Amino acid sequence: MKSMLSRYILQGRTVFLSCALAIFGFMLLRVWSITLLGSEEFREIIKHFKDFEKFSPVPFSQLITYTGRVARTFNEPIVLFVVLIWTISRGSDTVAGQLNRGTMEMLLGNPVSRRCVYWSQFLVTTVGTLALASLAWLGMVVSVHLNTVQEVIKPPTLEIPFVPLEIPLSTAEPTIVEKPMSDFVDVMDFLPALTIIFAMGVFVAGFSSMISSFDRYRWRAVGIAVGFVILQQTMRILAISKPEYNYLLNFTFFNPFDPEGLVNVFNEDYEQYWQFWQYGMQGTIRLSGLGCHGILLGFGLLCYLIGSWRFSRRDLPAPI
Amino acid sequence: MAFVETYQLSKSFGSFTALNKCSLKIEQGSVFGLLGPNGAGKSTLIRLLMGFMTPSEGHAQISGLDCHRQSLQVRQLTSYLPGDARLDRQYRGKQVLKLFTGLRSDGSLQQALEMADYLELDLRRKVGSMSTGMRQKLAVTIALANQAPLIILDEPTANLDPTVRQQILGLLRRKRDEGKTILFSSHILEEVESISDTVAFLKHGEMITTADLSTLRNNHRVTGTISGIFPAIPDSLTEQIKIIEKDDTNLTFEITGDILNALTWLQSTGIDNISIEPARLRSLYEEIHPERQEMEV
Repeated sequence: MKSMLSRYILQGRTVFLSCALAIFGFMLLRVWSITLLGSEEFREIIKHFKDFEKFSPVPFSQLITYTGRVARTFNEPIVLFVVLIWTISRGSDTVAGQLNRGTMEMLLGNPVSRRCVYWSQFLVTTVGTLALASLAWLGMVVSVHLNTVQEVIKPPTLEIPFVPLEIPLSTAEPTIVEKPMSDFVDVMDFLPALTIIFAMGVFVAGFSSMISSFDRYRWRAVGIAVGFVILQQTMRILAISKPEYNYLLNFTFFNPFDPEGLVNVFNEDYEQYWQFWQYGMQGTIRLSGLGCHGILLGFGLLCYLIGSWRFSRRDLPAPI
Repeated sequence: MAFVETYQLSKSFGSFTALNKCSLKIEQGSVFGLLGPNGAGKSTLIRLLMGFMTPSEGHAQISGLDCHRQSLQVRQLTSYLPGDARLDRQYRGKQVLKLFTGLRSDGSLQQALEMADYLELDLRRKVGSMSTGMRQKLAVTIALANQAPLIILDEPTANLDPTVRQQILGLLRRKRDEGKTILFSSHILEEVESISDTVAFLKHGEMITTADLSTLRNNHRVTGTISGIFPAIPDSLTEQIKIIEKDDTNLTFEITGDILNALTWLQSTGIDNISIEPARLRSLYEEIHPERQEMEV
């Protein structure tokens, strides 16, 4: 097992280091970019996009807070892309990759069980996925502690009840103060984003490994996994664009993969976060923290188990 | 009980039968050569023994263990070199040896390094930058650097120059002398002949015959030219003499067993330009595969 693990670590090292650098660097920059636009200015911009609120996993009111804007960074396509690169590349290598390269036969010529070959790869891929998700979070933490934000402090005003009118109590100009971003953001609030990225990674890696166990060509396993991800994303877009296709949300893993939504629930209703599902305002049922994680991790592990079962029973084709 | 035994072992891929009802027995401590052209079923037989595939019919056992159902235990007793041995290209030679010897409880890095030194392998090079021959030498080193009682090699000397072939045959002889059982396949008749105790011939997935090489070495092949009528073979020698090839002028026949009586008769036949040499595996191979006489020697 130890030899197998070191073999897979060595094999995945380059891809992992590239992904780690990309995700950490991206989060550093992306969180920094939030500081370029104050909350008030962002509120003005977002007003114009009210029609697109349905595409946002959280209400715009939450999105304009620093917490909401930082949570948004975990759902950026680059974060998703990096995790997909790692999980699909390692998952597809589990069986098909090694058969394709012809190295499987040399390996299994030794007293190594197929289960050991398969689950060692699982271990390395899963730990790598957790490390990438943690690096995304760490990039955010470092950036939050390094950066400052400018806040506009308006002179005190008097609000007249029942009338949309504010009377300034001073003639002074609004002042701009610079404050550490960490004053506005608690980095621990984003732990759900870390864990849901990890859960999504486990699901995609499991799916890729399962496909890999049925195939002998890595390029085909990669193609099927990428095609599946694109199809799932298309289903999500279709479901939120047209109410009649809303049921498609039940069949896409992008539904439980909701970092912003989960950060919101985690902070707004901690008890609710630990439920499997939650009730919406119109009596709709939505997955809650436990549900989102449970579905992604559960299906990911199920895919892994199917892959393991298939690999332990299949004939090994001769190297091509 | 034989150390390796197959009974009616068959493997089909759809309508194609790669191996058909193959039964063989290999005694412990012997060297068993598998011969046959490409597609004869040699690699399929070996891969079934390693438990890589489910037999369509029949079964195979190594040391009483079922090769398919108890594959892991079987591989603990076996060291294996595939016909197309491929290694991870990004590793250096020494890393590969370390990795593979670490996979076996009986693997020895020290032994592997000594073997690599004997084969003049540069272990600092990455596998990807090694020549085909060097990669094969590295794979042979991996396969032999352990104490497994059974060694299975699928064409171990393919892609190697004659000097390295001899070195590898030397290593196999050493293993044989240590009492290991060796099963290997090859296209090269001379090397099979030089090391094996028993050979088996496969053709179109079927085991055609097995031959004991010590018996085969007692046979002789005679070639010559005839100018007149070839005299009839006396009754006392018909069991011993077998005509292989005959035309108007040339004659080839084989003498089984004691050659003295046949030599006396030969003197009276009027055959010219007589050449007598020990019967080789080639003659047996040509009987089985008459269409493949151009095969590599």
